[in-house]
Amino acid sequence: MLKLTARRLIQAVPLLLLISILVFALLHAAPGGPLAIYLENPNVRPEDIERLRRSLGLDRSLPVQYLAWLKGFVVGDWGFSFADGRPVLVRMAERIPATLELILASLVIAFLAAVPAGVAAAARRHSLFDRGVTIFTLAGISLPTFWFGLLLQLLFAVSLGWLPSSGRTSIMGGDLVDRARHLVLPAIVLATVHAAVWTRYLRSSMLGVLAQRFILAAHGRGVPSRRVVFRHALGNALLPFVTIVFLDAAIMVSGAVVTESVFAWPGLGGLFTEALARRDYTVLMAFLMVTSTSVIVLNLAADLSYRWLDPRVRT
Amino acid sequence: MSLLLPVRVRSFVSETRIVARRHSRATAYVVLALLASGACSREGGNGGVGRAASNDLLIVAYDREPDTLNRFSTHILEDVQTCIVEGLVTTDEKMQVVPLLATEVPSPENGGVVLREDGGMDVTWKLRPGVKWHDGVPFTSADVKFTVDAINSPVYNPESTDGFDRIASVDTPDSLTAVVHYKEVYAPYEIQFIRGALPKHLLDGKDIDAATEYNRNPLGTGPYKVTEWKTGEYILLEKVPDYWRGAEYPKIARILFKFIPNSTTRINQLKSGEAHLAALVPWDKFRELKDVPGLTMHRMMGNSYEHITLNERSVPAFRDVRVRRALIHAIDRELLARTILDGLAPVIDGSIQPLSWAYTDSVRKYPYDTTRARALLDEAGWRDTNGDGIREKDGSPLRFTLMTQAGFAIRENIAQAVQRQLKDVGVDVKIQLVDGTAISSLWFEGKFDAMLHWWHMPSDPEITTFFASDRTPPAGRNINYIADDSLDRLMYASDRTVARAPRRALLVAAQQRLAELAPEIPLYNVTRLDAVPATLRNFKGNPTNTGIFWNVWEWEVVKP
Repeated sequence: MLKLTARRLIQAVPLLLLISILVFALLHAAPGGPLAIYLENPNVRPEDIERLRRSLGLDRSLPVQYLAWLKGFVVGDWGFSFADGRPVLVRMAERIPATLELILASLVIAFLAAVPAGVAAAARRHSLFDRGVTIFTLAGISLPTFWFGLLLQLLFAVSLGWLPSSGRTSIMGGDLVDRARHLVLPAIVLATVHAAVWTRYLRSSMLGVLAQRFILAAHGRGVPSRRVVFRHALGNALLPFVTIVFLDAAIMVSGAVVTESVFAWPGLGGLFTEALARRDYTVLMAFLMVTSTSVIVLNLAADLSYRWLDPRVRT
Repeated sequence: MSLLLPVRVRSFVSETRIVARRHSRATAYVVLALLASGACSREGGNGGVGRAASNDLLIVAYDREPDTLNRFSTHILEDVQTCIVEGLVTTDEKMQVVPLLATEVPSPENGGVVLREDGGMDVTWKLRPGVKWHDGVPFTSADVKFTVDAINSPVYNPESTDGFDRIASVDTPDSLTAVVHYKEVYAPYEIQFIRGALPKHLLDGKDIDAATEYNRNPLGTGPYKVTEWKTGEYILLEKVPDYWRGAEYPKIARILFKFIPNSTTRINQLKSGEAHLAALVPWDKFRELKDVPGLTMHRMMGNSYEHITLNERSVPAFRDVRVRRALIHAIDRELLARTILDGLAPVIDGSIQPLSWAYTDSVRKYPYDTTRARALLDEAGWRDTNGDGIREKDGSPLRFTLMTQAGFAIRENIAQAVQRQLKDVGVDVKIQLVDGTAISSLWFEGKFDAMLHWWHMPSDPEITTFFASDRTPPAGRNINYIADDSLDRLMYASDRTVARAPRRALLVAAQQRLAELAPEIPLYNVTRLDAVPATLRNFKGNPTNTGIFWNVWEWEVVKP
């Protein structure tokens, strides 16, 4: 397993390098740039624009800018934000805890919703419950995150006044309960799509396993039904499911962008949105490299967990 | 197997139910506990999770997080900074320049401005005595001189050096007098120090760009100081104990700026009472907010105007003044204002806005008149010869692309209405929606035919950068690419005139010439809508980039 890990990590290096070149090229090819925001202000004159361009190093050729960025990135100097002049690493580090908190909460919610619903739906195939789950999961998959988030805000914050509509803490709050209350709505929104997909996935995975002959054999041997379902069927059905969970966790990092924007959640997604509008290249590069790396690492984690869970793969 | 499966399935379903029930029970407990704690924390407001505005705390729903609180470096509206750092002057709700840290606004009449024979001018600023920085150090003319030197220094990168680069030197004959020597006459000198000054005793010898401590928690002379900046969430300001206006000011103890980029979320925060005030409410949210209990919609004319820029370099047809005039005649601007804009923004006829002291209404106007529009286009040689409804000339159709910002619902609607109305007179318009950042570089490079957008005009009515023939990009913002000698002469003469009356005469003549030339299609004034608590007193608003917090020191929340 160590060998595999090492091999995959080594393979990731050229992949990340390629991603960085592509992302760098795409960002610079997009119209606008870090100085575009100054153009609306008539007091900012062309000479100011040129001065700012030089100060940000944007007057250098693109290959030179890329190599300078790469050199710094490798040694842990991720440069300074074009927006506020602070180190990119500091800006990222400030935001990571909030994003992790949101993602972890969403994963837990999605998992707790998907596993019982998927198992029960498979067990009661074609029943009313199964049909209900199908409707809910389809709705969950189809709901635009943006719209769903605003809807929950209107219901729980504006109409009922039960939960805060946005933010991570209250000015007078900040304790565990206050933070949990702020977390509820964004976590539910972010979890909904994944819970719906996972439920569908687990349901069909369970149906496939339940239809196999070793399940019949287990029953024939007199193994209690509960043990058959949870040990024999669910254990096997979870194998591909775990892979999906890991891959989705990686997607959540980027998927949180919309949720964070709607709920003014101070995580990486909000930083990305802000940096994108401002064309803050250094922050954008860092964000995209972090998300790319997280996708690669979680992919690897999925493979490793698969091997750990399924003895057949190890051989 | 298919026969056996349901029986077995049934047997474990009950177990699954138990498990599911356990899960849902646990989840329900958590949710109930959270909701219960939420219900307990209700403190009034609009009957929800919020609390009513008070003299203890005013919560502002702010659309973005500031980049820096250094007023000279930021590119964002300076609302937070205005509460902390004061200028020598500010602009009031009527867009008049009024003294703040200066005792008066220098002028030729009061002897504060002297034109030199060498073509330069001297401006004497008298500073208010007894003003101290928040750390207790007196605010003096040395700070004014340090600010000019720092901004003109090659090692500091402020947002703009406009005006400062025309200063040769600053003399400080005493601690309360700063004499600014300009190399040339500079008409907007009044607002040179509207952003205040940098504290010499704190920043002298430091790299200001990298002075993170100052840039995130600036030292000012204003009524508030930063207590906490929670990145991505909020900035909390707290009143300073010894504000120079007296211990009774400011009236509100704390102001919280919450960063909420999404406009619907901002509105929801106002509705739920989680926020009390929001500046620059989008017009399409007016109806949603106007009846919210406890809120007042403060409406005032702005110093910006929405218009359609006609790029003469890109579209040859726009070089003919008859075509440009025809386009204005063909658009029913009153209808747009009445319907899409919900009657909130008045139609205007030029770039200098009614609030400005230089504004004139006596300019040529182009009322909605499709007959006149058709006649002008006929006269210019644009006729529908092939019967397809679109006019042609020399085989080329009268067609252009109207670029505007994507995601700006009102603009998209206006663009569609303009497209429809121009079709009626035989002009084919295609709409191009571009994201907010990309659009800036496109117009700056002149890569568009026509553009629906606004200009935020400076409080000083200088318009040279928008219309002078030598101010096309990158030298300025003349993106109509209009070139007219008489207009140039008037605008440049006004820039070199300090006395108010003769300068106004020049600017009036410039506005009249502009109206004759019709280089763009003026649409409407960008009216400001600010949502404020009904219990807030002394809120006056502000049409300029100075922002609504210019008189925050006197705001007061009274009991309903």
